[in-house]
Amino acid sequence: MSDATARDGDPVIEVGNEFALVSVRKVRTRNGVRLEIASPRLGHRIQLDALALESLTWQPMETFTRFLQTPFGPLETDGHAAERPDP
Amino acid sequence: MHSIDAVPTDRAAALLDRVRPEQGEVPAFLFSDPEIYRLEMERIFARCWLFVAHESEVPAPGDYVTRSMGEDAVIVARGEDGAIRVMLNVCRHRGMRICRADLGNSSHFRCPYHGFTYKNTGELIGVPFEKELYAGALIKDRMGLLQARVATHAGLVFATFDEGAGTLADYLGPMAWYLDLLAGRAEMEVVGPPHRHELRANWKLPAENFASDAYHTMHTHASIAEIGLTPSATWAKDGYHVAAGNGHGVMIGAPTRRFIFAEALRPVFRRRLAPEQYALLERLAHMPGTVFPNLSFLISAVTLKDRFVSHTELLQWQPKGPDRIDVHSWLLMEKEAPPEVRELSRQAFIVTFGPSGMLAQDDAENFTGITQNSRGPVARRLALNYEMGLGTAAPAAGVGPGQVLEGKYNEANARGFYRRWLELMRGRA
Repeated sequence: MSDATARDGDPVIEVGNEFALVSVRKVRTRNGVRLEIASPRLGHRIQLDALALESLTWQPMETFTRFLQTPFGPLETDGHAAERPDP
Repeated sequence: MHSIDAVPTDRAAALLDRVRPEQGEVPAFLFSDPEIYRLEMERIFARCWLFVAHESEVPAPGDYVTRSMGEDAVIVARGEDGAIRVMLNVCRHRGMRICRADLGNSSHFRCPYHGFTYKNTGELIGVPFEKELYAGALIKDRMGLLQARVATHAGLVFATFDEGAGTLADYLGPMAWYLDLLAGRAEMEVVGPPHRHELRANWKLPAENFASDAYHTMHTHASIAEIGLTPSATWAKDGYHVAAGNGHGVMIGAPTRRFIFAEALRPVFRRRLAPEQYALLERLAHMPGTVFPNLSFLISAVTLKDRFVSHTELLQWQPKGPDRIDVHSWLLMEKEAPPEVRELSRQAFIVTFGPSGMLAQDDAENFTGITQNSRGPVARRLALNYEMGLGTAAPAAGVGPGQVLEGKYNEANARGFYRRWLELMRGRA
């Protein structure tokens, strides 16, 4: 199994504020596309397909508030202080 | 139990006794004494309604700006629910400043120290390793960001941390009527982020100057008449001097030789203002003023590139110590102003009261010079003279609310400013 990959020339969009920075780009599998959201500072990355992205459109902001209850994500949800991945 | 609030010492009480606005005497030490300054932070800035932002600075959910209320740092944020909140910019964990940018957009704020995370409404929602480290003992509901009371007038957002303060409408009193001319005559917006610069001066000097001192314009600003920006050195003499309640002061330059605003905006003004307000706007040449304690404003007009153009600005004197001010200046513009008027107005603002503006530079010399002098052990004892117009000014009718006096050259508003200042400093407000 391989990750979807970016194609040369596809634009990378950066979205940042004083608290966080993510880069967003379109990535492709053999048969389709996903949107990749990456956090270079924390080293996390997710690739979301159209259906998953669509489900975001009806989330209330509280969904994200819930996500942020563990402000550094998997470092805590694993139940132990894991090594922070290389950015 | 002792209060942690600063209370006047015997020394401070003796200092306050030497402030005699009714006799036109204001002692020089008021502009640099550290004890006076500490008391001002407690008794004035922690109690008054203070301007924090214009609504147009945070138009969308998540937009925020960071500001000061005296020495207290605050976040002014529009929540996902559309409401504007003003919150102490202090993490409830260990007191770190949470937002450090001047402005931004975020649904949540994350403290740089340990990562405590708050919604932009101020609720604490995330604490790193909370389960492991606090074992359920941390009551997050009690650790939200401290909320100020918030109220707006004509798009101007004010806040106070004093639960005992009256309403903003009570606080503004007659000044609200003049703020309508300033910021409610059309749908207004601020252009860009505020300009900021530091001034080595005491905050009261520019505040009382905008409330009361038209007299200095003929000499301090003589050079702007020489280069033709204004028609004469005495252009700011005619008009009215208005005590607008609670230490607020406004001066009305009138009559004007010609309408100072864009003709296209007349119907907008007429629709939004009361007939008496519109009548004054038609006659208006300029209008400086101060909302006590530290929000000044100005409507004025200059000849620039052979065009006669008005500019409207807000200037706030954020105290950063007895002898230092963080100056914020905003250009206010009618949303419906024609593009060429917007551009000329922006240029007029920059050449007059932007950080490098000619009038701002002229004024800065006076404010810093007085502040420096007020530190001298001999000079600080001097009672400075504020008696112009004491008992001699004539009332004028048919202008607007407040106590309206004929002629702009007067020091009545400065006396009113220090009268209010003294009431608050003595804790009798």
